[in-house]
Amino acid sequence: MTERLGRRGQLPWGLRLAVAATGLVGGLVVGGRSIGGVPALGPLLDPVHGILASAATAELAPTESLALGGLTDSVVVRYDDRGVPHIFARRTLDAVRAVGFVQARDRLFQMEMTARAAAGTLTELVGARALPADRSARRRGMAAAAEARWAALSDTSELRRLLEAYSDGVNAWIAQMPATALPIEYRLLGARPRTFRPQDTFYMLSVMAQTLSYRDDELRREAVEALVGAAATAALFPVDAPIQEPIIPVPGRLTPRFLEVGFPAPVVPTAARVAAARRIGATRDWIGAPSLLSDEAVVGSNNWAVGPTRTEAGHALLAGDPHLQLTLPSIWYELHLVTDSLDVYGVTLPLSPFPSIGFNRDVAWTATNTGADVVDFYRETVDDSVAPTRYRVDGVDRAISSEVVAFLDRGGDTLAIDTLYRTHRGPLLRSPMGWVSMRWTALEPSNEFAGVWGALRATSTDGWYEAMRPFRVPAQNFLVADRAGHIAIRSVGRFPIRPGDGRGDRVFDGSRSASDWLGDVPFDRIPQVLDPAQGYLASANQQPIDPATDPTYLGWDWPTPWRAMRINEVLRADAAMTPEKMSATHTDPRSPLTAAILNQARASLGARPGAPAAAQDAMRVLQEGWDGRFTVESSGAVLYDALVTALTDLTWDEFLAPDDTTSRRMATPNSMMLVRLFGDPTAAWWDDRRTADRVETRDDILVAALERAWLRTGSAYGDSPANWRWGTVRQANIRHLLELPGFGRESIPMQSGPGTLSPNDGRGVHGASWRFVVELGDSLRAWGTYPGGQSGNPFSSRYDDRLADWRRGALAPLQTPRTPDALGAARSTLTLRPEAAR
Amino acid sequence: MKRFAWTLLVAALTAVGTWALDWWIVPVVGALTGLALRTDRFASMIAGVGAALGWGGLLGFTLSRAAGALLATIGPVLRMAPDRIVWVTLAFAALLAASAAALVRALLTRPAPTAP
Repeated sequence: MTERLGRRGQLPWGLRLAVAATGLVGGLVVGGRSIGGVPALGPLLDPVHGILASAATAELAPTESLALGGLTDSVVVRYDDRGVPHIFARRTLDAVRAVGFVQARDRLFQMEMTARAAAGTLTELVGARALPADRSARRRGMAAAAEARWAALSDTSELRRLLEAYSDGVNAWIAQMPATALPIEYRLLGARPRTFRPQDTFYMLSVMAQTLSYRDDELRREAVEALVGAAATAALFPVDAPIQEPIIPVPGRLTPRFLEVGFPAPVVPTAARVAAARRIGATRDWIGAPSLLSDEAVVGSNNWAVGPTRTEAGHALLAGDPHLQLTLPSIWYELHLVTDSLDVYGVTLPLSPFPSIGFNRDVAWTATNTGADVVDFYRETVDDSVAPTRYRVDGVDRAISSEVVAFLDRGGDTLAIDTLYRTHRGPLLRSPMGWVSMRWTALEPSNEFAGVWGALRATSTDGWYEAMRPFRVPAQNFLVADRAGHIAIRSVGRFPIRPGDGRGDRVFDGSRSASDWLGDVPFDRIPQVLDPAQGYLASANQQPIDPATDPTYLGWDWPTPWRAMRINEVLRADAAMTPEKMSATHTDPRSPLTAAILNQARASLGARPGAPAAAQDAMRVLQEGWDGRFTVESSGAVLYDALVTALTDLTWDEFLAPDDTTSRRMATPNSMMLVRLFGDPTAAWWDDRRTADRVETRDDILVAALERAWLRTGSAYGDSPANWRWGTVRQANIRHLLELPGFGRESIPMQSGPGTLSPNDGRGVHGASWRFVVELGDSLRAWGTYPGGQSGNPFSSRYDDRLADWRRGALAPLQTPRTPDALGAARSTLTLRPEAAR
Repeated sequence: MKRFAWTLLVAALTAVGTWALDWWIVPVVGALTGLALRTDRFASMIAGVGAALGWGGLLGFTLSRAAGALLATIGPVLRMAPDRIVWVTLAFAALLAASAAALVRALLTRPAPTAP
């Protein structure tokens, strides 16, 4: 025993050495490195600079006075009880400088992430895990587009001076922020903020353009055609939505118009076809963008407005409900700017000083995504399949420009090298199907912020749209209401005109210049309406205009009309609309899709008297135990959702490659096509190819789907419907930008369902990003909320203070003081003074 | 008494070093303690306790305004009971300093090989 412990009771030397070395190395490793999603403990636990210090500086001081270089006069920033900065300045340039300062104070890390996402330099901040995203961003040419937009501004333009003031404000905060105010993300990454530039605002625009307008589904479409045939693909992914509930109302029409549709049988999937589909399908994966063909659209924005004749108070009402990715910090930053020439309230995207959605004293506006087809691909003929230098157009070789770029890690070491190629159309991309070049409106000259800046000061709907003429990407359905009682909507943006039949739903032949765009749809031809006779307007990403009214091609495979139908139903039924009713509509728990599915299920079950007991039980519960509402407590919604899933799986089996074991379809027609297919009970699509011994019809599939839904729901949630709860099935998952454990808010039960105003695909990572209602009366009234809070500091009470309201569908009153003193209880007052002043 | 003084000195060095530099100063102070007290079998304990005291003092200063509220905010983020955050923080500092001191001391006090 004495020998084991060594002299004087100590452990033997070698053992002491080993224990000490192990302890030290272990401590240094867990202190300095993130392991298994757990952040490095050193910077996290450091009591001076770490997580506790971030917590200690998370709240706003009651009063502060700071110097801000470049100001010509003092600016007063008063934060209201919701953490919204109301910025009072005499000059707009001073106000915009202050916006940069306060946005950076609250959202600095998010701003850098956004700029780097467009530039393709995320690896320099977060490391190699961002390499795929960076490669995509650079190949798409987003940074070059942003730089070109900035370079196009004249030295004397007002917009240039505004953006310079804004970035100066951001940098002023970085220069003077105390060490303890460094966002915790930088601490965890071991990084420092970079200097911001005025053109970073255009990088933010590139990111939004990618989110809202980049779509490469024509590449996937070729794979689908190889699998099921061109005729079937054209029928199931059509140019015109087969159920027409357009944004631009058709006078006198109160119900949707159902277009004639046919369902050509799918071709037999030969081995060659399957191989071709796989090869082409890989192209899309290689380019890597979200696909609408693969899922029901889940980014479902809504907006609606009611004219004075249909509101209780006789004032125009406007509601906005843009849906985007749910993140913490939130995607929006709320602010109020008051200067001698401006009084505007709204939400900005951090990296922009201008509210994208909001209102002034006379006009309110909001947007839904148009979803137009503004990206085309061209199969190019190149001289070298590995490193092309020339491509052929009309029999003549043209030079390909190329640039070698490096991706760096945090330490400045090279992680990877890539060569970027360009043709006259845009980026040239190497893919398994060959070299394809891309043309995208977001990569071409335009001046969106000139439009946005002008629109902030508009005093009427007409003036607002006129100001927005320069706005081209991403095309948006801008809904506007004014104090005079006008309501209007217009799909503002650039819509290319293609040659031939004008459609852009295919990959073009790049060897012909005749494949190139011919121009743009003229401004006065884009879908628009002012003060419709029906007295209200609504948009929900649906096809903007009925092709019978105007057949101009704007896009294809449009999102389903269920949300638009539901909003119109609500507005049509009530000629005395109030802000409270507008607000309640945001979380309306019903969908027209539900009745369409259940009616068919009931009829099909009735046509099969010997149906399995499970199918009959399912129908009984859906019919008798559910009111069709997707409330958190609903049990029927759980079963219904399982029914839709089963029905989709059983119906669209043709989109599975025959030998595929992943059960992942190459594409899935949306629920609008499923509902239309109900009208053809013996269509070949109802046959389940996996049951070789029989040919199924519609009723067989509906009954089988009911049975499967009952069994799977019972298996997952228990046999008794009393134990099923929709709130445990459909939840919002709001993740931190870096997906740091604990910094997100997950598993939030939601009142949302398939085809409701808040669609949710089950992942819960998209949703309502800013809900608001404005009443444009003699006195302005507004309400709003978004999922999160104003601060990007996870330890601030303003980080997620709005989540509870957001989940309940409640909106908070928005304060619009004209002077600093007019603001009620201010949480904090920040005085920004010119640098020389003391 | 001498050991108590050393413990306070280590605490002060740890606190000042962390304030001025960063968390990695903790094992450096620990190593210096091991070097200075290489003949003292309690060197690593002095380093560990001193480092925990140093960080404890800093924590007290940081949390002095609203300790309960801050820890309650941080707790859910770290998925940890608020009081445990404090203990983990102190234990982390103690581990780094004590192991560094022990390692240095062990390296400096290697016993001479005994004759066969």
